Amino acid sequence: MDRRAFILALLAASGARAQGFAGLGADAQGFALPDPARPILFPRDHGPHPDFRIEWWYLTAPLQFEDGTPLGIQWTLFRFALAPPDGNTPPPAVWMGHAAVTTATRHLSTERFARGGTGQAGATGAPFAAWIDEWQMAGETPEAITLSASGPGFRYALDLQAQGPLIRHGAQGFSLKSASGQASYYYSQPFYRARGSVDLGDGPRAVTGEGWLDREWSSQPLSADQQGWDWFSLALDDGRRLMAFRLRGTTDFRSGTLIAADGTARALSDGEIVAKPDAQRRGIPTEWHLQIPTEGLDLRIAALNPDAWMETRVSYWEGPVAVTGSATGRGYLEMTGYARSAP
Amino acid sequence: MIGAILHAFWSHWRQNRLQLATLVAGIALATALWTGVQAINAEARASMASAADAGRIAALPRLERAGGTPIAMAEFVALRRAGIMVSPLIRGEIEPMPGLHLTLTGIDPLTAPEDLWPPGDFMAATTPANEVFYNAPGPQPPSFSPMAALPEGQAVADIETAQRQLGRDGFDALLLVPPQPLGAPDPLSVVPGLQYVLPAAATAPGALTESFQMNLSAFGALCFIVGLFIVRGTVGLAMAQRRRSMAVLRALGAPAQSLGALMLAEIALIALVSGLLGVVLGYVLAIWLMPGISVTLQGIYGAEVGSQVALRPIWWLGGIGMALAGTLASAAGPMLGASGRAVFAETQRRRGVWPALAGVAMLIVSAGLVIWGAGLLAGFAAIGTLLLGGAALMPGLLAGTLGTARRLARTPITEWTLAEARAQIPQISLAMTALMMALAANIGVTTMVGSFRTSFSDFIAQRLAAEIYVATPDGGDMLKDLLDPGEHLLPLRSVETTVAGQPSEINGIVDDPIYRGWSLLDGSPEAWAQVPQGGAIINEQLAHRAGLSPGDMIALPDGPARIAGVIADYGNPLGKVYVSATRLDRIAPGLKAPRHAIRSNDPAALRTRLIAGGIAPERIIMQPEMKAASLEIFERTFAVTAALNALTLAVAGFAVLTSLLAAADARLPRLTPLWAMGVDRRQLAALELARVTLTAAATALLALPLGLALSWLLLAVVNVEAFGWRLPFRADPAGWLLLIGFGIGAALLAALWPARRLARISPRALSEVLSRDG
Repeated sequence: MDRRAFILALLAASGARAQGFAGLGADAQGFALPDPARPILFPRDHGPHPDFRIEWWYLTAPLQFEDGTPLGIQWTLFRFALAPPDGNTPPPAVWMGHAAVTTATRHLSTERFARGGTGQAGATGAPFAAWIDEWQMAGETPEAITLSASGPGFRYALDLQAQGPLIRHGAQGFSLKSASGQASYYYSQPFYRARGSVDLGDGPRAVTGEGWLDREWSSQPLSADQQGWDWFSLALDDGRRLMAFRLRGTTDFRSGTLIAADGTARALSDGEIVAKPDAQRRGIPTEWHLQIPTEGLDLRIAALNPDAWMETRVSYWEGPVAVTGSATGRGYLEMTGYARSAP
Repeated sequence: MIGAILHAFWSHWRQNRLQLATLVAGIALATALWTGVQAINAEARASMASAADAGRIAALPRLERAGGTPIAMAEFVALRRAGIMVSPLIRGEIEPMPGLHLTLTGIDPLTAPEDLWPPGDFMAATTPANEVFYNAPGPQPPSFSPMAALPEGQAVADIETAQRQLGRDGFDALLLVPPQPLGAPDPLSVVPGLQYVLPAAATAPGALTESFQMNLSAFGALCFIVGLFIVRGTVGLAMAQRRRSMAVLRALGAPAQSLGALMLAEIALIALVSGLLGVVLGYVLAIWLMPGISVTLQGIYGAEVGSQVALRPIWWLGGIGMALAGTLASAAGPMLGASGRAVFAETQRRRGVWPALAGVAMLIVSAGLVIWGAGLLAGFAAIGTLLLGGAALMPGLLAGTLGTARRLARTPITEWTLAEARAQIPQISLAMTALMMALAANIGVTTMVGSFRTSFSDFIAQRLAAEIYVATPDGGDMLKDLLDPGEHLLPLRSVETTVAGQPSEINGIVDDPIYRGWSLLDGSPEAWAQVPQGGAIINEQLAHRAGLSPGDMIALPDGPARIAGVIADYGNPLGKVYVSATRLDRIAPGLKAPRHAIRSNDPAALRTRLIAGGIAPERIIMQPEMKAASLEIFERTFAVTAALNALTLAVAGFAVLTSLLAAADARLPRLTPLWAMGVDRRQLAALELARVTLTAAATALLALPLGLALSWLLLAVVNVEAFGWRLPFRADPAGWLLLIGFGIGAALLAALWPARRLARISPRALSEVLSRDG
């Protein structure tokens, strides 16, 4: 299982929610499943995949204002199919968007919902676009896109230019997520250079930084014992990119991809990743010790704002982080399945 | 040894079955009162969200097409994609079964304000979206689900389902859902042809409901305190009676520690059983009072609260917890005293002046909290210290009052009765403290609810002085042509802005006698005359939050304005500023009036004329309906308060009864000398009744200032901290006298049985007492 699937699993796979409004309780039956014999193919797979039950577009960007003050933005769009495709009409779907801006002292987040088929939310492959309400990610291809969102008290617009190739995780995009064989299709563009503006209610201010796009789709729920995950996307100053996650269950499942500055990717196996939580804030580890011994990486990860809690209907922690240790850099950290304690 | 101790305990209860019964009943009644109030509160709270939302749909501003034609899906999507948070709405009549007529509202749970969807959070819902939720008696149509939170005759469904049911495409209106994102454009610039429709009059006083609930909570806490006193009194008496057997057990070698531990276990067991009984009683009480509560909420929202009381763990566990903790806390003192007492020492510890000093200190702390404290917590702490201080001072003040009365006594018997009443204070003081607490709570809460009701009905009468209110999204130009010569229009216009750092609304008013009827909390009587000259009148919320008073200057968008007066504005969270219509034109040029008030001598005829002139009926509100709906809540609050008052007094009366029964045997040696001197048994019984009545009357007198102080704290401190407005204190001497009468009556009633026993006691028993003690 991958990180975002946990959110979807909350909606789709557990208990009473299974028969919920969205009718998401239906299991993967009738939906397509990831197949290692069918690797990700571009540009075909830039578009939406209505045969799969769940799918998402995820962009995180650690940024800085012109005076060097660090911040980060998050832009997320989920699609949940309510019923398997019947071959004729497009299956009914619900779309959910999350957006946030995080500085060292503030964390503004909001969410949107839309029903499929109305145009209020949707996605296309060519041109490459995804939107809900006025939030939009759009470009001819993922090479160069614009990204915008707004919410109570914030607003941002970014131009993102890819500086490297698209990365297929796992085996050509077939990304195995558990020992029992669950998987998703997963690719990223981790090499965006970002520039644009962020308005926190006091007028737009110019920002620059890096961006990381994730595209992922699947049909399978989490297994019962998996409570959540800790997921890292890091842009190192030496040009390398690192994606690593730990799924917390009866036995933890770790996986990742180390991407060289030239875009050469190497999948990291379960045994290659050591992730240990350090300092906590309200029961959530906001500092980490992340090691990839086979690559000589020994990193300390610290949240820019330990209170980057997403106060959305499905709530979790997501925010920008700084990297120190055997390499330096910055990135994003997402943690789900934690109970947030009282302040 | 343990076996022997347990046996001794058990035989005590076997010999004093009545005492066991009173202990169990005391704990159970106190728990019942506490849980009952909790249950009502929890239930009201739990039902509030959905009930509130039925009214919220009507209270939200919306967009409609000028001609009333439907709004297309594409237009909804265009507005959303421009970054305007709107949610579609469709409404119509359906007849899913012959004879079943329902008003169906279709909403989009994905974009509607959170919790507007009647079954709750749509993501946690357990029912599919193609169902219609409705409330109507009779058989259930297929794919319809009953939902008690909806007003009767109403149905709610997902917008697509509703469109299918109504056989229509498009939407009737788009609700504007706050908060809008930063930089959201004006909707009318995105989709031309739409217009804003504001609710015809701002009703739904949400803050008032919260205030009602908070006051109910305060009442629950007071009941808890009364309950604690009763438990303490009963346990204390039981322990006192056991003193002799304790001494024997200790003399036989029972270690004080084992005695203490076993007594603790014993009292915990009794508390547990009694607490369970109390929770059941509380449940019955809640069910009995609940119809009142649900009708109350129906009065506010036009929505029925589920009339069933669910056994929520939070309050039944809480009730048992309260019984246990309260019993142990209040029994700890007497129990430790009993087990730790030296083997044969029998002397009563003298308390001296310490309780009185502690009481005075508590009252000083309470006053200090009022003067220097800030926040709601300080307000409640002030109430707590006030009550504790009053309780600590009670015995001393009671003794003083009776001592003073004794000096006025003419006959020896009167003097003896007064002296005896004074001498008996230590025996009865706990019960009387319970009575005083109950009376103080009743006086306080009754005064508060009464003040609330009077102030609010005056306020409603002033604010809703016009006979008809009309929503006029087009600015109301057509209204003028529909009026008779005797009728005139008052445009209601406002802009939202920030005044003195507070989110506020600036209202423009025309010079009309209607406004001069609004009474001022502060400012000269000529304040309204200063408004046409550029002056401003502000509401209390703004005055309180920004620290403003008449004579101060505030900055308005077109320049400074002097504050001429402050008016009350109950149940409104926003600051408000009233300026002249001409001044508002300068602040917001071209601002149309989205609402109009109309003065008319024949409102019914005017309504018919307005509808015939093309104004939709739902845009017209008749003042009497609005007044009635707003006032309903206070009538119901009154009913519930009266029921709770009666119960609290009954519990306090019970405490008096138990203490009298417990002391009855000890009374005989005091009374037999009088009998020997020729006072017959009936007279003795009458004297005992007189003694209890005198004590209760003195207690009730002391309860009055305490109750008034309590109501003042609730009105002038707690309410201001919680909601920003202060309620004027309205004296209700008749009500207080009645309550005091009830208090004395409860004590008298409690004394009847012991007195009757005394009147029928055999002369031989009295002779025996005389020969033994005399």
